[in-house]
Amino acid sequence: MTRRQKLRPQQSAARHVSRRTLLQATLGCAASAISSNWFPAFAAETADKPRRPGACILLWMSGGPSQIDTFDPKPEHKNGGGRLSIETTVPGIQISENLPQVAKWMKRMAIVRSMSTKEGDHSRGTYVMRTGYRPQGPIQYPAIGALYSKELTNKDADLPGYVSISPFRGFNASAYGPGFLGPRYAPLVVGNGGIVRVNGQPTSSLKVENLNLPGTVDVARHDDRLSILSGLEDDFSGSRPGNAVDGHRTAYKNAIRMMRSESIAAFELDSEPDALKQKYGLTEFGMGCLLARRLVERGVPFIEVSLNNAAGNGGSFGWDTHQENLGRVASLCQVLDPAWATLMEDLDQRGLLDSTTIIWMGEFGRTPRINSNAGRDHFPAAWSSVLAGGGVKGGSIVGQTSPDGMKVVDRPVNAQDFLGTICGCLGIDSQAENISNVGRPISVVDPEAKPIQEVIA
Amino acid sequence: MSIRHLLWIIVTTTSMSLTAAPLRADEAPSDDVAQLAATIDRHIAAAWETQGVVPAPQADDAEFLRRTYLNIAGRIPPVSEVREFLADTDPNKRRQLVDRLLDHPGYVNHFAHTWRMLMIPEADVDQQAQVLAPSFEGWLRDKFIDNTAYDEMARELIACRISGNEREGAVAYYRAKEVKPESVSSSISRLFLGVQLDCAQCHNHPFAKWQQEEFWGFTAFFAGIEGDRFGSLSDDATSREISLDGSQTLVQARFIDETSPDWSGEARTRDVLADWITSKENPYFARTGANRIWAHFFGVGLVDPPDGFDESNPSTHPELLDDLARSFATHDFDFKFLIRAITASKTYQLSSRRTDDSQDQQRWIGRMPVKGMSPRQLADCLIQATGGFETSNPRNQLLGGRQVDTQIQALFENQRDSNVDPQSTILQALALMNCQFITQQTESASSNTLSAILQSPFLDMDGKIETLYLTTLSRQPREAELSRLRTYVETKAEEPAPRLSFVEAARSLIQPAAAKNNANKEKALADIFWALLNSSEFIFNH
Repeated sequence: MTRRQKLRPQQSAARHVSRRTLLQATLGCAASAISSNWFPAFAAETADKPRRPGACILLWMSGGPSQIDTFDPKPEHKNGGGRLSIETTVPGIQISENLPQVAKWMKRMAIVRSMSTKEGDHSRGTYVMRTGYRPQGPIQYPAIGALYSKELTNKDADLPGYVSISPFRGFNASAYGPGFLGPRYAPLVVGNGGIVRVNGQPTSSLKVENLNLPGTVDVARHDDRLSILSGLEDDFSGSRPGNAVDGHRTAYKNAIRMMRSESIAAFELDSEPDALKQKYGLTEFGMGCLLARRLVERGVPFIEVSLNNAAGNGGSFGWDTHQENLGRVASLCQVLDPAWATLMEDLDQRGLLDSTTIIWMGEFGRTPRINSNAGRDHFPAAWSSVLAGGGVKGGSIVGQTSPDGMKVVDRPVNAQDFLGTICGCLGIDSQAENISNVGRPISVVDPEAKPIQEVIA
Repeated sequence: MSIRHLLWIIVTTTSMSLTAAPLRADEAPSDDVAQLAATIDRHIAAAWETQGVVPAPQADDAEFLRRTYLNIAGRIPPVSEVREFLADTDPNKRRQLVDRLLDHPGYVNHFAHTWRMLMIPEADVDQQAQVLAPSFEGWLRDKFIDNTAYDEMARELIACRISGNEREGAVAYYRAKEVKPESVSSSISRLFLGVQLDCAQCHNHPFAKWQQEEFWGFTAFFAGIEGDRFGSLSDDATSREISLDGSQTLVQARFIDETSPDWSGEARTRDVLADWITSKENPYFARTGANRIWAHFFGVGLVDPPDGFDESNPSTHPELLDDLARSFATHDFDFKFLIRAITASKTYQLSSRRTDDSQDQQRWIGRMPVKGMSPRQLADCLIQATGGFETSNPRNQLLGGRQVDTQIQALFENQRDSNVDPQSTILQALALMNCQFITQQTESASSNTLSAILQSPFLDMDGKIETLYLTTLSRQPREAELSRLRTYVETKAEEPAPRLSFVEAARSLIQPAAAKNNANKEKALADIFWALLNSSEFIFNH
């Protein structure tokens, strides 16, 4: 039985044939509409035999998390805010008490405590960390998700190579786009990234918008429509060939392929055991991490999950904790900690952790000094990011900040260095070039970047 | 009042307001328009000669009408206008159409929006800047309503008074740039001089002519502005120096042609800059403006990208660019003059159909390039074609937008009006196939256009299919298309209605065969409508 027939069990094979014959007689191009030059043949595939050259999951912390209250605690100093640090599974390495479950995975993680960048503005910081470049007028730099997935993508996959879960794009939407790589590398966005979205049924929002046929249109009718469309497209593209029409056809081809692929079962989180969902945490971020694992299993090379807020954080946005920093970071960590730790465990149990690199970062860090509102402000001068899983030399610490946390005292790492390091972990050639929209070749990562070789396994 | 009547009234009033619009008395004499059009054609043909390009034939009336509507009014024409234009036998009807459209509110809206996207592109990606866009677009709208000259518009922007809590109009531009001198200066230099100084902001770039000192010298004209997006603003109008990228080095204000400003008298710094930029002697200003208008109509600039004037990025048709710029300046930077001349040219009136391989190099304009639409343009076209006036979503009402606008604009934000290389995304395809708006608008029960066409007693099946073509593609179906689709509808009409529920099945037993047949026909026409709306021919400007 073909894939298409499986999709409409309500119809008998005989009925199917008669409809096909009918259409053939009427439209001439009907048969080709289904097997044709631009609509895909719907062969069953992928879910059971994943092809994985390596994958990357970016845990994106919108707003810029406090390094002191996460991975660079200062319990001895007043800037530590009275927070304790806890032992990890690597002797001598301590992190904040906010992350007890993550601490158990230290053997698989490398903490970079010496991030030092120049952009302390949400929009610019987001752009720099997500593209590697400062915003520069007309050059539309691609998000690293687009860049890396382009290098890692399996061209025969049913799903796009870059899936962005619950992005909050308000700070800088172009930092989430494919830039000069073009819409072919645009992320498939699921979840709306709303500011407050924590409730009892978080899974409902993590769907691909408009993926399902409307109730009034079944697959047979959709086929009819596509056969008419196919005729229109053949006429128009025959007489007006070029990128515009090619792009349109490709997008429809891929969209239809995805609509009818078994790979979209990745989005059916309901099929996961309740216990596992509880373990991830019934939050949008927790479910996003679970979805990320399901997408990695189906060969999607780059997935990002944004943590935009936690319940009870009032008007505060994500990690932008200008007020009441300590309490808010604690509640954000209650979302982050179980989701991230369970993601590591889940991937590990399925044998996927060795080939999946996990990155934890935001657009910058936060001031060591606590301000008059008990908050911490923007601070790009000395902050932390984390690498974990595949390609990462675990149990390591890179760089160091001063006892008060105000400056980097060892091994400063800028955005390009960090992104180059990820290329190393993923086995991507960081000097592979793409032609930009202004006609200049631009490498995945700036040639001047100094990747942190010591954490690349 | 039935939907059909409503639609009819809307269609006829729109078209009446167009045809009844008087020609303006203050127009440039038509011979100047014709002369510049001939100049354009001469230069383009000369390049065809050297490049070995065989041009496409002239566009037929339907192709010209749709393209011109999209380029000037920002959307496709209503059906009544298509029928009228195709039936009109006046040999001057193409020029008359352009004149009508330039007095159409669509021109004001479309050009204000297009220039807003050029001037504050931040608003398409940044929610804070987005808040500022409507007031700035309102300011632009006023400029286009008054047909303000290009130099005057630029002057108002460059020299705009900035103080206190003012947020309206041109000030919104400065706020969108975060009132940062370096952001404003790099935007102004790109907009009005076609020069990308940005890359020189941080370091001297090996490829670019412009060096760091030049960038900061130009930025020093804006040294006096201070404030942020939503706070109080101040402007020290006499400030003329700035520190180079936060360092100790101070840089004095100077023009990028290395001449020094004349500070005699009590000149305000930005007034001096505005004088220099908008001067008819400024080699960049008129060319950049003319090139932008050109790119708006052809999707590709004579210098492309249009803000990339650089020795390493020469014009494809340098003499044509000079002539366009000179004419633009001579006609006091009148946008409408340039638009009339460009659209009157044979070059603009070429078909987008490929008749020879040599036409594939779009920059030689051997045929009209196929262009993407702006998100708003596409939304307006969908609304025009479907008659779907959307106000159903309360959240969007709150934001002052229509639902389809918000959805479509978010989905198509990567597309630009002047983009000859538009690429579609999967999410765009999914939305156009399956979203609620398209679904409603392609069902007879909820679609204004479809129900009006289905219920028209004066339209036979061919007439119905024809009207679907006119409302979406703004042309008559070709005979082969018509017969293919006619057969489709007839074949569908014979089929039993698929997947009947128990109640439907029971009802069908007592339903007369004609009604059943009719329901199938309606579905088949809806299918055709859906396919037309999803087609490249509808989605693109060609």
